[in-house]
Amino acid sequence: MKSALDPVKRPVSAVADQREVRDVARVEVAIDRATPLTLLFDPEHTLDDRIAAEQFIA
Amino acid sequence: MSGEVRRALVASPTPAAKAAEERLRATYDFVPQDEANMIVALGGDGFMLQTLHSMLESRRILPIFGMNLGTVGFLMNEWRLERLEQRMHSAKAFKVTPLRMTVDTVDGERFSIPAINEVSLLRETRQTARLEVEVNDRTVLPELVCDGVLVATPAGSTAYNLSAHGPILPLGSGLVALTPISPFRPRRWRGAILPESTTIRFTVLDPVKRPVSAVADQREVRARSRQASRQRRGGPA
Repeated sequence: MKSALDPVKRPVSAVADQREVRDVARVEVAIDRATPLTLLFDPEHTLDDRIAAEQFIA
Repeated sequence: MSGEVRRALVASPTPAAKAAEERLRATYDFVPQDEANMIVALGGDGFMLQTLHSMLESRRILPIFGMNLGTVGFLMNEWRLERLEQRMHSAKAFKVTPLRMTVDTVDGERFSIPAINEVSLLRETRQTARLEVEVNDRTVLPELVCDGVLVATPAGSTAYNLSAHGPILPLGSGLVALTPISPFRPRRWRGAILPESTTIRFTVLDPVKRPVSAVADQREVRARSRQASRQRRGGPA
């Protein structure tokens, strides 16, 4: 992605530093149903439609 | 949305997002985030993920209406100054359940980190990663030889997962994608689609010779790790 190379934008993701863990031995991954997030979309451009439509993009 | 709407506004530090923020603040009333019951976020997908992560950390989770001032804007609505109240009123709400990764390091540390798009494991050196993969405590792959592997949510299935040839999962499908990144062995293993109630465990085989890192939400972390590696080399920021 072009913007990732933009040096002005790099400091924005500094908080994400904590989200990389190096030299791992074991990783367990599961959906956390306790903390659902809510995203709001204009009815004519909803997230479910966008995800489905991605399958038809060449 | 019923009841009184108290909106907070957050913006990415890019010039475009900052300019949009200024115009919105001149047009509408906003409250500080700790008094809000709804958030308006200005920026790109990376900023949206960052905002969602900080809400998960603060454990104060509010509905977000994002407007795109970034590049892709998959998680965002179109940027418009006009009719914000009406748009937020008629907006459709989508629930997105994050993943949580629990990581044990070689040094015996443990981390628990949420991920909205995906959790990925990546080799740290030229040595391929060797991973044992368990699904609900059952070993399904005794040895996956690869660059890495990822677990994606439906919301994240069109991001890194798609680049790694993983399947697109419809939102609300209740599924996760387990997708290898450049798998070498097993030869023809292309990944799996699993119910979201599944617990997936990766054990790094030979972690000293073949170190592996674990990453929550690739998009945010890549830039940072690039910056970190530049700093190590003493290069310009």
